[in-house]
Amino acid sequence: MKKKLKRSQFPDFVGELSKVTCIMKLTLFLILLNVCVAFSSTYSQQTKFTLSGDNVSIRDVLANVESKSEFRFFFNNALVNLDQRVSYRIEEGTILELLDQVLQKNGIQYEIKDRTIILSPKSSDEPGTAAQQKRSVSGRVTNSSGSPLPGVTIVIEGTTQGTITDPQGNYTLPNVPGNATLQFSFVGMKTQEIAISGKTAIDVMMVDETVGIEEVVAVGYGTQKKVNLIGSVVDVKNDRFVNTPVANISSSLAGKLPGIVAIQRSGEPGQDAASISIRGFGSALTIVDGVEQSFDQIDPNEIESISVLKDASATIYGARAGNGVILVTTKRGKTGKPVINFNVNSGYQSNTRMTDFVDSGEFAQSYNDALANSGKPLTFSDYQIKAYKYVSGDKAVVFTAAEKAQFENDKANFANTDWFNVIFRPVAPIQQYNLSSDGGNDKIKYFSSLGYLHQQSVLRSGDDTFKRYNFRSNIDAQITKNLYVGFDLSGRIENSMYPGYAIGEIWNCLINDVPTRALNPNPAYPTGLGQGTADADISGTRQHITKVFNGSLSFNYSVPFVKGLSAKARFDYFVVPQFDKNFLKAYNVYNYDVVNDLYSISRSGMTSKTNLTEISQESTSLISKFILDYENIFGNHTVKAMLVSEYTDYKNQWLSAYRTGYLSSAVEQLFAGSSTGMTNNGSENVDGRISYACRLNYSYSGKYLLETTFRYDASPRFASDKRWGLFPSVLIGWRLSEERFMKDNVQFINNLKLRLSYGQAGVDNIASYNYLTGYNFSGGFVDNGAMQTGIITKGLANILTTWEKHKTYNAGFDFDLWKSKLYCGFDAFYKERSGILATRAASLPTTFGASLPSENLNSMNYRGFELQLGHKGRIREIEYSIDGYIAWNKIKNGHIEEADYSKSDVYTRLRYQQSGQWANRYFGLEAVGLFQSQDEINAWPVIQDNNNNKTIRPGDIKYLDYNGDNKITDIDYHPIGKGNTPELTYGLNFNGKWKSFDLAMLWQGASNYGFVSPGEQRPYPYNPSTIFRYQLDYWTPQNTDAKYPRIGLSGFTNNKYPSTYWLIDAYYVRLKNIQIGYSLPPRLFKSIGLTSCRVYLSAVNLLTISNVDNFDPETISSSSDYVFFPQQKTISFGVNISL
Amino acid sequence: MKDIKYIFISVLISFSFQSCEEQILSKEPLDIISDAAVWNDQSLVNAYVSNLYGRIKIPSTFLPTLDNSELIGGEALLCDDATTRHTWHPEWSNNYLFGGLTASGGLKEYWDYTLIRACNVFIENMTTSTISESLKKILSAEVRMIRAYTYFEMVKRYGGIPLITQAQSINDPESELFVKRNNEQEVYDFIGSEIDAVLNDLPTDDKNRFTKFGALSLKSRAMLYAGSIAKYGTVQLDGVVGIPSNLASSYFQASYNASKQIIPESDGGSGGTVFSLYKGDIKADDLSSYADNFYNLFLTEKTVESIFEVDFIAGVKGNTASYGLYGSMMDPSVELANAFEMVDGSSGVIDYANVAVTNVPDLYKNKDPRFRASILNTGDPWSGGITYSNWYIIREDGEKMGTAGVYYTGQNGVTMPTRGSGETYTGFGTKKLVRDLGYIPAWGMDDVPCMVFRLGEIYLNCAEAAQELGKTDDALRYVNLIRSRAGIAQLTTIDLDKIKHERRVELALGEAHRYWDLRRWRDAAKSPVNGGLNGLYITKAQTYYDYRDSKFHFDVGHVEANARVFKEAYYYLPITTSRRNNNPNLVENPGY
Repeated sequence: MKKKLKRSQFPDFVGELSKVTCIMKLTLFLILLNVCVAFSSTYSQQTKFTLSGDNVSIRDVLANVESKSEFRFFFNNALVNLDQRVSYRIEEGTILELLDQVLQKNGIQYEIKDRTIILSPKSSDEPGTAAQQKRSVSGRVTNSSGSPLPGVTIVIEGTTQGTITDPQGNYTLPNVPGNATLQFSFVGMKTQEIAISGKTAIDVMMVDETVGIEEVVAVGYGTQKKVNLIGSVVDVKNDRFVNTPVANISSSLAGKLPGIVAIQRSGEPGQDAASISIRGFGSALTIVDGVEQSFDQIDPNEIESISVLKDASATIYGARAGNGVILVTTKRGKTGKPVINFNVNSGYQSNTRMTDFVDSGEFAQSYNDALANSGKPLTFSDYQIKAYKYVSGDKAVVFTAAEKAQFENDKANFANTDWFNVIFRPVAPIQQYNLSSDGGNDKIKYFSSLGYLHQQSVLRSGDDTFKRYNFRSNIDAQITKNLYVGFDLSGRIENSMYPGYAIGEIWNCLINDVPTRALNPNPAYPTGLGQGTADADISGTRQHITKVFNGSLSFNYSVPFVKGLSAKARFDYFVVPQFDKNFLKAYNVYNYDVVNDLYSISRSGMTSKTNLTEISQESTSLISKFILDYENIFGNHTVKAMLVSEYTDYKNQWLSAYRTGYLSSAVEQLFAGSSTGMTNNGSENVDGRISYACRLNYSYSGKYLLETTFRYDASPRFASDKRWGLFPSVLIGWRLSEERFMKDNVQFINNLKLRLSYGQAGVDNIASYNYLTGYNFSGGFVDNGAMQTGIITKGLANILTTWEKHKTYNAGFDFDLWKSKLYCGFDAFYKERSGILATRAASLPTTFGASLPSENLNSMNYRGFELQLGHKGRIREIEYSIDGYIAWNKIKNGHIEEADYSKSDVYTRLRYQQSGQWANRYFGLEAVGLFQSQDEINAWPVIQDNNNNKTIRPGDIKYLDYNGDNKITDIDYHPIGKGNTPELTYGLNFNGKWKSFDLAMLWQGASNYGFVSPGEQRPYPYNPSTIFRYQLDYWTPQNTDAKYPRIGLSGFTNNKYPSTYWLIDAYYVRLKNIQIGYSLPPRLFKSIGLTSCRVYLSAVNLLTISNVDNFDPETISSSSDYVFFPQQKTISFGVNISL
Repeated sequence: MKDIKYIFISVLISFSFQSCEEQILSKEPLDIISDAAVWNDQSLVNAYVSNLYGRIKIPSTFLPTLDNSELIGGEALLCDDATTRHTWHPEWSNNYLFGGLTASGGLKEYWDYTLIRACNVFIENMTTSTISESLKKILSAEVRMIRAYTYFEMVKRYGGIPLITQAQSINDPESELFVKRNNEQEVYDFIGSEIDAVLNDLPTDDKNRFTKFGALSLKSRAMLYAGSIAKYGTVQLDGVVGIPSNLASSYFQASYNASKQIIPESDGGSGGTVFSLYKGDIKADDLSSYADNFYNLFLTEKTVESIFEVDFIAGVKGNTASYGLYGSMMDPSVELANAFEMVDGSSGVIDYANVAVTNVPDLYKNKDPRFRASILNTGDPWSGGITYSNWYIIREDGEKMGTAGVYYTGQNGVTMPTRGSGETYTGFGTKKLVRDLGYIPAWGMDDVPCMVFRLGEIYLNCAEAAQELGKTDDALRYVNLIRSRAGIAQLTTIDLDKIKHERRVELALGEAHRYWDLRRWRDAAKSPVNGGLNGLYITKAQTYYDYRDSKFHFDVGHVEANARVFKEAYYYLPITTSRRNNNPNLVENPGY
């Protein structure tokens, strides 16, 4: 909006160049018919020439230029002498360089207007000294990617004399003193001051001001200058996440946005999204260009910025905004010559942390120990253990003579298979490509992008891959003087392919595969359970395809007779078809007889009957929005107002089909299965929403800022008298730095702002249709051979159900000292969340036969702060910036519906009462070491096993009797640490530039959370199964100083209680991303038409420092299972090319 | 001109705030049938009843999958019939079997007032429904039977429980909502009176629904329970549990009468010719055909013997009954094996510790054919091969080879268990109610029918009631009818112990009678020598093969490390602390 308003101030060329304008109008028409045509004939002053001549007339030079370019010269023969002889030499220079050489020296001055160059004699009244000589300065202003920047203000310092760049980024400023300094300024860009030092042509590249107060930030339904922001809003621009070789953009946000808690639990291709919460709240509303949708799989190259509304600033989204809002804005075209960017990035991924399994020798020994401890007969004889140790490379093994003879005989029977290595490979490739182009003129602008990602996993079979194709085309066109049209199309295809079983199952199978099992030489006959499961040729395939298509049309009309008023309408159609195909093949696992090279079936694999399931679903949303915007300045009063109405219509439908009875697994299609036992299913659901919102901004002299919003929302999920809700907010700000007393006295303070906000919002995606009674299809019985479908009541209804209510308070300040030498932002918040659905406790007796419906009963509260500090500087030729943040949040239960514990003893209350307690706690026992002897057990007064400690043995964990009743029961559980959500998160960014080199680094970390290693308490979970090598440090009478208790099949009940023995108060700091880039000197590629070329080396998760030793510190798995896929470390090489 | 501007702006504003509320907000879920639609639509009313039938409690043998408190075959594991390798079974992990049952409950819980409410809602809505009166009458009668059956399943666990016969409303006064427990006698009387009330309204010929005979069977069983409790139990808590002993004979009489109404006329009853004992596969003089006959009785849907059964369709509404063998959910005990007599009526006890045979089935040649129909042994044909369940072998040099999970199969052998980690713990596998599928069915992929009531049980109910009433001729007659179908010698005299013994072998394992019988007879808390469970060690007789004499031997010992503990209190399961917290008016059973 801002830019468009300014455009009307451009000098009017119409008088001089009416023909051109006319052509432009025609062009615009053609553009609307066919966008492609429009951009083929763009011209530019950047066009490069290579020309030279010796002792030729200026006239000839100009004729030569006219023949080689679209420039035309206008001049008056009487005033300008073109017969002067000149010699000139231009290699790959612009027209300006040429004209400077040829004309400037010969007393002719020029002025470029569009394609026309007007020649005139140098003013004869110029004083003699260079310093006082006045001249016309012209040039071109571009942004950092080389696109022209229109609307840049150029002022001669100390005067009011100035101009603005035209749509092509060109400017001409007449009558500039030779010693003047020009000031270039533009919203969101760093203001530059350049001394002209006698030059007449000055080209300027403006750079984005990342923390600059003039920066524009996306807020709900619009943008806001950072300087006027009062809410707690943080944002990150494209350059901070593009070129990072991660597949899922959500996993690259950690450490970049203060207050965002991003935890990535899995590194599996297609499943590697980070779970993102704002300030520890529930899942946030994410909106991409005005449409509620996930942004995980959007190509980072398409994204302009991501901003996060953390406090009352989110209230504009009303009933959905309770957990905060993440706004993703995609790139749009900029006026200027087309810029084509090509990014390619190719690298390798590997597990950040992975722990080793035991080898055969270690297995045989420890498995026997486990069997012995569990009271089972031993599997391996001493000789066998020796032999396994020997084949595992244990040189300390000493055979007796008899054993040696036996070993010579049967050594083929002793295998040492590294099943992890059979199933996983050390590295897997990842590639990303993106081709984008943007450009435009004052009538039409476009941005288009095409992206491709191919990621494979470390599964050796190569059957676990993720492919993604993204495209986007955003077009803005000016139809008439006051009407603008936007037409955006975007879409993507996500294709995940897995072997028949997900990674969790593969892990579980891998745990089953003992190292003593021989690896088969013929891959068609897997001897490992995991081996078959991980291989699509054997276990089948699991495919998930998501396609996303978003089309939008928007109209923006500047009401001509009311200054500052515009009306906007936007329609979005959003459709997401998804397809799942699951073809599971029946297979067997074999025993391999090495000596005779024979296979025999040892057991069936994970699937006993080949079967195929297909699920097809589609969800569509139709969203229409109408916005009235008003902005005007009345003296010291700046007023902005906005009125929004929004309608959303949503529908989802799905269909599934299943067949089995496949004759062969060769044809992976439904028709090939048997019609006996086939099933199908399907359903639909609908949703919708109506919202009205208004926002009012007022600013007095840029000092006192006020913003207030109201949102009126309705959702059909609630009863008609409970569906409408009003959500207000008020935000106030005071820019102290604008006050006279500050401006005059403390000049090093460039910005100082105090902010306060309060807002109410909601979360309404809960308890759909809880207000209705009725019946669902459910159950049934077999009557005379046929299934009779049943119906069942859906339970009691609660007509009072409504959304959760969130009240957010935020206070903060920002300051900027010595022109960003030091800048800081601080926010502290408190949030009350009430109306969380819960079932009334102790209400109806069980004999009632129905439970009460959920009601809006529970409450929680949140508190925390974010502190951000930054510094920008330059040391000689090194330009750098460094900024970091620390964020803390903690959640407390308010009212929780539960039994009344007021009469209970203190331990019971501590154990069970949730109301008023901190959330995110880990409950367990306090371990006080291991029992070292039976005597110690006998002397121990605490009964740990409800059986007079008869089942306790030396090497078992000793627990503190917390409630002092001399026995370990459930009541002894108490909070022993934090839950698995980190309460403290931090990030540190460094960006530096030296000559053509650049370096970016992002450190990120979290702490104050509890971590329990997957499966650690349960060695040998299956019989037989294997363990990790680190688990070998278990207690034995010889190894009394062990880290782990005595080993047993599946562990021992006493040792598996959640306790301080297993809980790690975890922290981690990781080098999330590091990137070193080098921009090649232009002379290397100029001849092939490129404008810039940068190569870089980038790494993700290169370094992880943590007290979690054996696993990735973000991994979460249950303590009894091994379902995880560690995050990936990626090292890649990339090239950015622009032309 | 100015007016036009205002009009234009107003139009803009009103355009943005156009109302399409109706269309967007009038959405309702597409998968819910409204209250009003259900009760006047015959097919939806039928569907409601279908749902109720689908929810009735049946033995855990037929569970589709593990549920919260039960394992497939759980009842058999609770008594001396069997044990299991699956020590993650809740009954083991919580030590319920070994004296660990407390007021926290968790064992065999069944407190399905949700189903009771669903029945009450149905019965009430039928009074105003517009569907045909005749259908209303039949369906109401069936639903009252489902309710009575559900109350029986609860009373046999907890003793007296609150009798709720109307759907309560949230707005009812607390005094009505927070009910007290009815006396045990009241619950049994309610079951009896409900059966009497609807007997003539019930359908007569659908084995999958409650018919007149199904109702009579329930009466036969429930009144027998009431009689035993009156005779052997103690009245406690003012009658909340226990039934006055002077009422015993009237309950036995009621049971006896009900049984007689089912028993065919040819066998001295008044049940016409509707049911008879299944003998379809019996060939005269072929002992093995008797075993086949008894085995097939349980795998065939709707035999002549079946009175009320729950049928299954694999994958649609399936069960996992056949998991029993391969997965060894139930490993039959030596105690059960020895209970089966020889065909001549002599003791079937085998001294496993001192037996060596070249072919294990030879050992059982002359056993009650029901043994081979119920229990699978090493050397039995199965799955197209021969089962081998060798715990280990002893080589010629005397070295012991193999341990759990590592076993040696004979040529063409089918190892008994292939899922999980080892063999049956006792040396025996379960065959009764297990279909020879050749593979372990996935959860819910089996369709062995569940006979809730069969004539065989009614004969035994009748015999027991007759014995208790002193009608020993009838008692002997019906026990002998069962024995002659089984293919073993007739009894000449009868006493209660012989009837109990016959129930044990006829209704063993997955039919899930013995645990409840031991409780109602108040035998469970007796020591094993007196036929009880307290102090019982489940015994194993695992086969091993000795190459030195080329014979199978048996390794005899205790399977479980601890002895079973059955305290007097266990005759009633605890109401539980959580239910009493929820309703303080519920008094806890004695001993918890």
